[in-house]
Amino acid sequence: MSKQFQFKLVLLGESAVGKSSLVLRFVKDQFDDYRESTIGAAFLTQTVTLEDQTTVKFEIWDTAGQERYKSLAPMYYRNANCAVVVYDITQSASLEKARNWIRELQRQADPSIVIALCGNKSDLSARRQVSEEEAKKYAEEEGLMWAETSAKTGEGVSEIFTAIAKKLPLTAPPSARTGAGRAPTGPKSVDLNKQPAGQNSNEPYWLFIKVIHQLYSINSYAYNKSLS
Amino acid sequence: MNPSRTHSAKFQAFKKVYDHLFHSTSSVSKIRDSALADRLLDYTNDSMEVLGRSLVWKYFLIADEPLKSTSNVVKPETLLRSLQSSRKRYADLLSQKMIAPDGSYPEGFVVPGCSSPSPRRDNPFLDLERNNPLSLHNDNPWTEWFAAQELRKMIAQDVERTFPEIDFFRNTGVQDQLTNVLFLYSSMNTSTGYRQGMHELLAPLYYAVDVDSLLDTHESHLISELCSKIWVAADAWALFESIMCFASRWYEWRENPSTYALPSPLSNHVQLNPDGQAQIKPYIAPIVQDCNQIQATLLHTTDPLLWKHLQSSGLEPQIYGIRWLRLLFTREFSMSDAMRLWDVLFACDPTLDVVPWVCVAMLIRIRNLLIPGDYTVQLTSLLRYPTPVLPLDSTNTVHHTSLLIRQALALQLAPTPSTGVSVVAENRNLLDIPMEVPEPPSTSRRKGPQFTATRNRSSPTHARQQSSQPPGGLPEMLGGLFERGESLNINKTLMSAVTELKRNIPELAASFVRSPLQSPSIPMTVERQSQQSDERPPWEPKSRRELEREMAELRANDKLLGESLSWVVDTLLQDEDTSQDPQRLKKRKQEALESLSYVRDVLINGITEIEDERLYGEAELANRKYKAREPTQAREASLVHAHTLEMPKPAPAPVADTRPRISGNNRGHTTAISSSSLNAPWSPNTARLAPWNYTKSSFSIDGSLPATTLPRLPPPTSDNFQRSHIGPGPSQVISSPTKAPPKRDRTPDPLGVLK
Repeated sequence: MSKQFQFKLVLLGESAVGKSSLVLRFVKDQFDDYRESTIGAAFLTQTVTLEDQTTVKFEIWDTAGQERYKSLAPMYYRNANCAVVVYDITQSASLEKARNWIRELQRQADPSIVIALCGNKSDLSARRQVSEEEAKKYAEEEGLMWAETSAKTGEGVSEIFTAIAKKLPLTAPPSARTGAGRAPTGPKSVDLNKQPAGQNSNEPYWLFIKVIHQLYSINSYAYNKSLS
Repeated sequence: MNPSRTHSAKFQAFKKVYDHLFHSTSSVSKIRDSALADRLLDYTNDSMEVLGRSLVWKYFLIADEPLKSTSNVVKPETLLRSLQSSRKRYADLLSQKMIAPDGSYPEGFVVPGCSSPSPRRDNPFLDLERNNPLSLHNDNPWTEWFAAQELRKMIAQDVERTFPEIDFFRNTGVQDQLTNVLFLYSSMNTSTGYRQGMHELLAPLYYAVDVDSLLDTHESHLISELCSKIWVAADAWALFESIMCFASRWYEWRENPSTYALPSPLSNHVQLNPDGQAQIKPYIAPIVQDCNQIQATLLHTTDPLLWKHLQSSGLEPQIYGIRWLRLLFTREFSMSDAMRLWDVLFACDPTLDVVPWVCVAMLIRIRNLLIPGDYTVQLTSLLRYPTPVLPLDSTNTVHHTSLLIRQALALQLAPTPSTGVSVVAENRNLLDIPMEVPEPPSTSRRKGPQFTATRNRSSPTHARQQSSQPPGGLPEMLGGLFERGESLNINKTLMSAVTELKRNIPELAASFVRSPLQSPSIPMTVERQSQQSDERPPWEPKSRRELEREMAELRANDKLLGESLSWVVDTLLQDEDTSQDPQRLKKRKQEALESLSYVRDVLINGITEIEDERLYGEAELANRKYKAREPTQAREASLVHAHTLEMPKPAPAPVADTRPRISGNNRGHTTAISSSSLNAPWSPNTARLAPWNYTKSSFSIDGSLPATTLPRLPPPTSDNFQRSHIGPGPSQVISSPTKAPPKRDRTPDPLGVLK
């Protein structure tokens, strides 16, 4: 009775806001004080089981934060079902970057994408520069999910992913609800790589047969001729 | 580093490397050879800390130009001179960049080469109107200064978390030095600037120099000068600069603001899914070019099978390539392994030209994971590159990362599949990696569900039937031979002879079948021989014939797309207000937009395999299928299969065809005429006399032919099998419309021998 869904999730946000740490907490329930900066992107998977025994498997693309690599990001958010845009509550500039990402997603990504805005490092609220109200208001205006998390303490991390999982099957297009049926990761969409005609490899075989057939035709012609 | 190692012991170990490098009989090529054989440095304790490493790196990367040519002896004095000049440059540049406009240095900053903090340099001629932090003057030097501080902050953010698991890099002194070097580099190279990843390229260099550094110069030896503790950062900078000469292209990036431009009249009221838009870029970053080259060209020429599997799962090479190239593999291996790779890399190719080939060698090494794996497995193995588990008794064999460089050099020298095979064989011999690719867990790896667009076009059911045919047959056999030949390392001449033979078989057969009167100038529009180009080794050029065929395919594709677009336009032009069923119309408009974006993707990405289902909305598709069936039935009745690329589409708009002969033959009325004239002699009634008479027209009787009546028809002819070939597949020479009518007239004596 349990249903299975598979979704592509992409993490976006400024450098050093804690995207990789958030994923590490979610996937392995670990935290490192120093996390090496992501180059290119990292790929992880994690499955969430909801109360109704539905399982949601996230294919997580953790991207590099540096602004300069932004042009590369479409490769990762293309066909994504959900995006977690992360900012650092102790850096108001990071919320600005998050807004840019959200604008880009709204413009460029799949229209049905579920976007969650996530204020990380809530354990450092003493150094807070972004108030909860400000972020929440913005999220409401844009119709985004919003939460504050702390990858360090684990606070709010699994909650936001579970919330996304709950929201997803309802908002995703019907085809996505068949779970594994629609693999949302690149290859299904525009398949540049479809190999041409496997069956063609048998062609000479058939040509060979046809040659024989032709010989039969000649034969039969002679046969008919001899009859007439 | 290692407290147990005394200073003089360190010096002795160090001197051994020094003597090796600068021995009177050593030449650069000799040193290179011993580096390639892992004999240059002492790797016995298998840690990151290898004495003399930085000296070797300096030897290959920093010494002056003459070094780059072979058989040159490098004198330690030459190297020292180069080092001294770069050290001086570093000190000058850094103090120049670090000084604030008021002549002060940041707190704790020590000018390189000095032992005490730098004194404030007072500038008595300060123009305070302009030069003060609060001045709004345009030329205020402080603006630049503050920007530089921002840059430093950004660099420090990454340096702080460089190699988190290595304690050495948690030292704030080290972090400051790394930041200085990166800061200097990025302010000297403003076009590239600082990019994430540079810090991890610098860190191992700095580490190696630091491990080798000698604090005091009590032994007045050149070694102490070459590896002076005072100049660690400067030497690391010199090494970094030298590497970045060639690696900086992988960091080059230009944001392209025009990506979002392209205003479309639709975008005002409709949110399109523009996932293809990002690709309309005039600028392609060099790293993306290189990544594509690695997979599409280099891998393709050396391991076509692996390439095919990576392509078919849609794996984009940037996903792994960016990190591999930018960090020169430091994240793919343990630090000590990665540094051993660098030892050989810098010795063999300081210009880093071989690096893309190292990527290819890495791909080939894990082909047993990549080929049977699905997209997720492939991703996982590429992004978490597995360390080979070495057999225990292999202590004296070559190290697995330096082996990669050797393989890369071999591949670079002779980029052919046979070199690829020899790499695979080497991996088996040295790393115990089996040569046979394991079978994938579920479906067979060679026969995927592969459809061509043209087949899909005629009818999707056919495509499915065709793909489900049993394996076997001549090319299959030859393909096997080809592969076996490769694995036995048969030389290239024989291999290409086999390929040649394999390629020529269809052509040979076709020429035999062709009737003598048939004009060779008939374009090959419908002669589908795509398997020739598929199986052709990449080093052979395309024939004119194939080019013509490709052109014809392109034209047919264009027409398909055009038809789709005309439907999209028609749909979008329908007025919602006047429609009886606005809800439905809305849905159809949505479908039209989806089709439109698909067409755009096809055009942008140059997709040749068009998926019909995506060209039209559901209702329209059903409609078209229904319409398409009628003419098909008519043709079947007339026993003529006019298979044309555009035929199944009952296109409302006539499309100008530059070649009236084909289009004439393809049109319904022509076939009707020819069929009426042909019907009589070939009707089953007249042909019933001899059982083999069936064979004359067997290629046009769709599956209705009793297979059993075919005398000695080679192996298994299930219903399915037969229909898939005899049925409406445009792949057959005989069933091609351009030739069918004349042939029918002449089949009685196709070779003219009975006259």
